[in-house]
This record gives sequence, C-alpha cells and structure tokens, in this order.
Amino acid sequence: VSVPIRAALRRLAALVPGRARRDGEAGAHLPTRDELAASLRAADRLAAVGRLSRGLSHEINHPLAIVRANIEFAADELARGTSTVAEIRAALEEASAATLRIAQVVKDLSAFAREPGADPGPADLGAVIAQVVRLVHAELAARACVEVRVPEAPLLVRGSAQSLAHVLSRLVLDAASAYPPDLPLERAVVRVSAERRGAVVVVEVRDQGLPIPAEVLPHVFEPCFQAIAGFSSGTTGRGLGVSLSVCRDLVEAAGGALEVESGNPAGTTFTLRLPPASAEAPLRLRPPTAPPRPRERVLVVHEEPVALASLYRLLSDRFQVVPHTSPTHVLSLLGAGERFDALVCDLALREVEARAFHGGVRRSAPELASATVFLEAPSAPAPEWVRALPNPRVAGTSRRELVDAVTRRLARADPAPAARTPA
Amino acid sequence: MPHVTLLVVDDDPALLRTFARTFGKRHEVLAAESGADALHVLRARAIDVALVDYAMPAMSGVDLLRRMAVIHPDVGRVLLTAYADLPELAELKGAQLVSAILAKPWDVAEVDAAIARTFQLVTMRRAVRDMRSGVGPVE
Repeated sequence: VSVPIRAALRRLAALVPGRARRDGEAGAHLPTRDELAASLRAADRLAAVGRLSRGLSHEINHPLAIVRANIEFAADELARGTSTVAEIRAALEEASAATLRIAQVVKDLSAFAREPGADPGPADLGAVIAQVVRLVHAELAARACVEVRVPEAPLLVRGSAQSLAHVLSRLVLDAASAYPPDLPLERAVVRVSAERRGAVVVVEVRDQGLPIPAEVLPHVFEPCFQAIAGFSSGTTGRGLGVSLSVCRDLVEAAGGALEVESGNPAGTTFTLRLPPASAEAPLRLRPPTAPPRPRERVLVVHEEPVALASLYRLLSDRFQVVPHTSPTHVLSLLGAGERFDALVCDLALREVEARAFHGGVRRSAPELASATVFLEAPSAPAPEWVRALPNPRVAGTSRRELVDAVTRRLARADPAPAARTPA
Repeated sequence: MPHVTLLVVDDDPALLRTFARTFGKRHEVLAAESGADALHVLRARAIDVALVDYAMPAMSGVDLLRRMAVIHPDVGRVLLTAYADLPELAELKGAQLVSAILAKPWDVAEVDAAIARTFQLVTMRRAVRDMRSGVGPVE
C-alpha cells in the first residue's frame, strides 16, 4: 500500500469514532461509539477464532479418535465374545472420558467467542493463562512451544477473565508467528509469565523471534493500523487480528496498561500491567486443574498390552508413566543410563523371568530395584523370593492401593535420579 | 494379515491405550510417549512399522520420522494426525518420508490396510538389503 493511501486510510480510521453517534443522542442510523467498539472487539475475536480453527480441529479430532476406536472395539468384542466385561467397560470409560475433553474444548471456545459484557472481575490470571494455553496449544503444537510461569497461589486482578483471555491468546499467537516456520521447536519458545510486583500485577508475553521493525513499532496500537499497513504480510509474519488497539482498549477497561518493547536485541515483549483485586473479593474462575508440578517417572513393565493400558489408566494422572511390554528392552534402557523414579513390575513375565529381570534392574539401577512395586495375579500368589523382599505387592488393579504403594516407594527412594528425559 | 510389530508414538496416554486395545490382539503393539522414548524403543526392539503422531512436544512427529529415515531405514513409517488440513503433510508422502498418512479419527480398515502395505514395503526393502549383502564385493 502506498504511503498517501495508507495515510488517508489512517485518517479515515481516526475519523470513525468521531462520526459515531454519542450515547444518548438522537438518530437511529448511526451506531453509538460503544456499539462500534463492541463490533470491533467481536470482529477481532472472530479473527482470533479463525486463527485457532486448525488447532481446534486437532483438539476435537484427537479425542474423537479415542471415542470412535473404543466404541468400535466394544461393539466388535461384544459380538465376538473374546474380551472380558472389564476390558469392554474400560474401553467405554475411555471413550466417555474423551467426550469430556471435547466438551471442554467447546466450552473454552464458546467462553472465548462470547462478548464479555461488563464483568468487573476479579479474574484469576493462572486460570486465564491455563485456558489460553489450552486454546492455542494445538494451533502452536507444530511450530512453537509455550512456557508458563505463574505463582501457585491465585493471582487475582480486576477485569473480566474473558477479555484477558482474548488479549493473551492474541499476544501468544502473534509471538509464535514471529518465529520462522522451520525453526526446531525447542528454539521457538513463547514465554508467558505473571507475577505481582508491588502494587501491580505484571504479565509478560515474550518471544525471541523476528522483532517488530522500528518504524512500525510506534504505530502498533493505532486503530486498524495492521489492516492498513499490511503489517501481517510484511516483514515480521505477525498479526492477523483487527488491531492491537482492541487489546489495549480491553486492558485499559480493566484499569491496566499494555506496552510493547521490541528488537532489543531480539524478540518482542508485550507487558500488561493490571491492578490486583483485593484478596477478599470472590473468586469467579477457579483453576481447572491443580498447578502443574514435575511428575515422577514411573516405569511400568507388563507384557500384556491391554493390562499395560489399564495400569496406564490407573497411574497416568498422578505420574509420568512409561509403559513397556518388553523386560529385556527395559534392561537395555537401564543399562544405557535411562533412569526412572519407580518401577511397577508384573510378576508373570515370560520373556525374562521376573526374578532375573529384577536382578538385572538391581545391577543397573539399585535405587529403582528398591523403588519397585510388584503386581501379583490374584490366582498366583507371589513366590518366595518376592516375599523375602521388603517391596510391596499389589494384587489386582485397585487404583488407590497401587497409587499408594508407588507413592510410598517414591518417598523411600533416593530423591534425584541421575538422568532424566524431559517431561 | 501377518503379525506385525508396531510402535505407536503419541504424547497422549489415552490414545496409546486405545491403540493398543484396538490393534493389540492382532499385532504386537509397543507404545512410546515421546520421540525420545520412541528412539529408545527402536534401538532395543526390531519394529516393523512405526505409527507416529504429528504434533508432539519437544521432538515433533516429523522430526522423529526424519531421524528414523536415517537411523532405522528398515522400519516402516506412517504418520497419524488429528489436524484436518495441513497441506505440508502431503509433501512428506511425496518425499517418501512416510508411506501413509492416517487421519484421526481413524478407520480401522484403513489403518489395517496402511499397516499391511507398509509392512510389505518393509519386507521387500529388507529382502533387497539381504540380497545385496549376500552378493558381496565383486572381485
């Protein structure tokens, strides 16, 4: 776009609020200033939903695969009669759990796309950021990763959770698009942090990608600037929303401020300064899950894939479970220096006898041998050599019993394994 | 359908469980939650066909498939993806990085067909390699 046209368009854009009817004035044909602002916000939200659509297809198709495959499995097995009732029930439970994931996606999306209205807050930033990460995660999955740093305690700010989610998702998507598409994932990191600094809560969205050009930087918050300047198709790869001015308006409506710094020396940081809400204020939005903490890696060895899958089910919401059907392979992993925090070991191994396997574990990783929980079949009580060990034995698959046994073993074992693959 | 050793790689345990449940009675199914875990499994086990999810944290599915093509060329490569429309994926097939691309939610018959086709390809590739090594250097 040539400079004179751009300048003319910018002047036109600046005129728009002035032409709008002021609230309370007579005249039916012109929208009020508030209505115009609301349509601009709505257009920006829709643009953001459009940018999320690829990721949303992933967020729905993935659990749908789990739903479909498990229902088909259950139907086939009911006809064939080769599976137990427990196996079929496990499959149906798996399908049911996956439908809840789809429901959560739809809930997040509709909360995101709705006009927030006059919600004075307070909003819990931890919960808002978690919602934003859920929304954008699939969209970013193949091109950037998001690192979040928020305090564990609720961080309450004034303003609507929905508006803040709108602003943050926009900023995170923009930050990700500042990286060239072929960059390895570990180098395309978007960092989101929130903390209280004195009398304000500061949220930062940072990237190390292509900076915003110096001549563009002073204008990024101007209404319709990006649409006019061809900013999105220009040098940075950033931005497709209507305008960052919408974001700034939303932040200012919450009594905060939005600033940007870019190119010093690389990357861009958007900073939101928000007024904290008093701790006594009612909490509108609770974190959907407990704050993430590093989970212990639990190695589970069972030769039956379906039994292994059910052990997975029992343990994976508490631990980072690494399942293996091959004890020989596990021994080679341990021999190669791979480390785990605990081991759940089936006693009915065939490839290698459980006794020889556990002996192998003791040679490569003695701390893991003591952090082992044995699984005994209800019909076959544990042999003498197992009963001579202090390790706990669990029969069947009672979830609480198994989780408790692993937790107790973890508490006894050495705290820091030598080598860990990243979670 | 021959009994094939499969490695399924996905960062979602629920999907791994589902896959093992669906295909575990016909094939040996091994599971890995990440690209790094998958490489461990590949070092230790003879795998016929690996089915790799596209979007995984740390090492992406495409990164893993590229590495496999170099380190384990004898293992069949199939890509799984829940993204409805990714034009760049078609190129992977064109570049012979994968023998099939399967969309989630999958159709069991389609997965079976892809596994059978890929396994056939792998068997032929192995036979050619064995013949080559059998011929030895020409004096």
